[in-house]
Amino acid sequence: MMFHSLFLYQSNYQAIEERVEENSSIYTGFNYIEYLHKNTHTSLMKHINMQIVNHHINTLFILIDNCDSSLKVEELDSLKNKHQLKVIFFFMDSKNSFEYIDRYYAQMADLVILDETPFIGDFYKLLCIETFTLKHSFKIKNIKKRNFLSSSLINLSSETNVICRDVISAQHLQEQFKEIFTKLSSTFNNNIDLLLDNKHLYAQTIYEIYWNLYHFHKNHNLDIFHIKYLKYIIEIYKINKQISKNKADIMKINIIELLNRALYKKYTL
Amino acid sequence: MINNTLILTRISYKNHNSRPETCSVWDAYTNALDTLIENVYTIDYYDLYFKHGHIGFKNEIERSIQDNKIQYLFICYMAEDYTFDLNFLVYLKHKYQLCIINTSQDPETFFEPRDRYYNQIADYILPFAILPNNCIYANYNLASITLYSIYNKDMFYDEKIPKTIDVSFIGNVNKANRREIIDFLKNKGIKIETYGSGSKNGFINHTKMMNIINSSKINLNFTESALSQHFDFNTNTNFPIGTHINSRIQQAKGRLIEIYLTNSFCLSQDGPGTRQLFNNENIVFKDKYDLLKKINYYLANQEETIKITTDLQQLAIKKFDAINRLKTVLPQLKYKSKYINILYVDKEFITNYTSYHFLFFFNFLFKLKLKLALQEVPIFLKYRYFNFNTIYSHLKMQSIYAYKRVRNMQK
Repeated sequence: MMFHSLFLYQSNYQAIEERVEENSSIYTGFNYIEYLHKNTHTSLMKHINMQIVNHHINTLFILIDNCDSSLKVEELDSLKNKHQLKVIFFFMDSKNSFEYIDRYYAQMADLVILDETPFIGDFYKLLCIETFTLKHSFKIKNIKKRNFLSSSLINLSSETNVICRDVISAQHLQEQFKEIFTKLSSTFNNNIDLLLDNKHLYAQTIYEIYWNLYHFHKNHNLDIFHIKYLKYIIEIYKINKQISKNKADIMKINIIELLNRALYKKYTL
Repeated sequence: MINNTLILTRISYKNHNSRPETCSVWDAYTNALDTLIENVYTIDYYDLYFKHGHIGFKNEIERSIQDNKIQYLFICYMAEDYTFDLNFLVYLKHKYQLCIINTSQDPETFFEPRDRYYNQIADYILPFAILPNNCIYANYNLASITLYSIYNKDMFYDEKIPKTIDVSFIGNVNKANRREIIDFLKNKGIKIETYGSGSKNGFINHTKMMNIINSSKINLNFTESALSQHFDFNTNTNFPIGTHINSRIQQAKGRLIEIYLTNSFCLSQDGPGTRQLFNNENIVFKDKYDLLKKINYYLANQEETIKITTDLQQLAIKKFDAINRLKTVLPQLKYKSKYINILYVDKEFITNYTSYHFLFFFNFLFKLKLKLALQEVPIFLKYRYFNFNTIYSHLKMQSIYAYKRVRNMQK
């Protein structure tokens, strides 16, 4: 199979990007968070769609390493179906974001690639999702609750030793990627119906509101402000006021955390 | 050696069921513990709460622990049950140095909203489930030993009767894509009889179930996880608290074990857990086409089903009879009582806990046991997170019960 790959990443992992590129006959990719800083979500999706059409993309790689729900699951799924794409996710912090984010994306995945965090692969196995554990040279962050999207019980988890292999040779990484691409060649496209619920909805709403507030203050424009946000209007107003005071430093305000504190009680399962 | 043991369990939603004649995994578990351990005391915690209310419930349990010098506390939870106050359990654990052993039903579905919070205080967890590397527990550093769905083997018997039904399925026909598969088989000319919720023949009791299983050339088993969009009015429990995505988990169902205990043949939907039960490629199917192929093959080659069944019945008795299973598990439970420094809870758990207690509040209120109803109020005031759908369901159900009580009194 010839791979025409589009690589969307949240932060730069050059070694991975290079390996994807060398195994693809056509390659393109970009940092979708940087794109979202300058453009709305609607234009991001148009841009992705355009890339797929222009480059005849048949394989979509998405790397999420720090708990992000900016890409909408349903929209990605409809892209996958429309263009008959194989979709591969790299989750580099799944211990923290499995519960609210990663597993919902993973449903549409033809393959999920994980780091070496203990047990995390078993959670995907339980959902009958195929995984590949990437033995790499990057650091695995200490496992402690780092954001609101994981349960407080994660504090009971052992700290994982920081894996810092000096040289996991480029060759070793190459071999692993060869294995990944061989695996992809032999898999049929996964076309299962998505199962979404309140936890997914919660994470997605927070990120939708976040980007709207960001663009409102930074670029003075709004994406589609959904009618469903009206029920959070008081909370949004309060946060908006807080942001207005520190407008110059908008990047330093943890809007996501503020939103969580304001919205969590609104959601029940 | 384990001794001085208290079992807190909920026999079934009907309660007061006689033991050991009932057939549930909880009863098999309780009876096996009773058989294998000296000085066992058993309390149906659900009955106890309705009888004594929040404060009396705590006092009775503490008194039982004190009087019987309890060292081991086995808590056998029903799936969506939030009766226990987590702080109270920690208080008991610390004061009496208890070694707490938890079990729970359907952790595939209920670990996330419920079990994990209760499990954090347990010294051992014995899940009635098969999970890869017991990852859900290992992730939080909790010690666990797979218990499987276990049964009283005497309740599942070989009637040695002629096999008059080609294919049968006993269970909820409306769940997941079961109806689609059953209709597919019918359209392909397979004679299939269905029993249970949503089926042509409706509900059947245990005796009838044994008869159907024994009369069937091929029994079927499907493996979707327990999940429903609706509040369960039979058990007063709220299924929607489960996370929908978890219904992707292929659960190893106890029905497969029950069928092989009766020395009957069963074809089961495939899944990682199911394979771990019997590790036999010949009794699993991947999809409806594979199922059709296997049904046709086994109907034409029944001597093969007899051979498979004979082997697997022996394995089922050895592995899944409650007494046999616990004989291997209990020696692994060495006394320990870990100290709980911090109790972790999330708003989701608190919301479910407070909302569940409206069951007791409305029940006491409508029975005019106002003192007991008032004992629930501090819980609501303390936590103040509510799921109004759950509360409404409890109000609705308890109103119906109250109405029926009044009508019976008038009669």
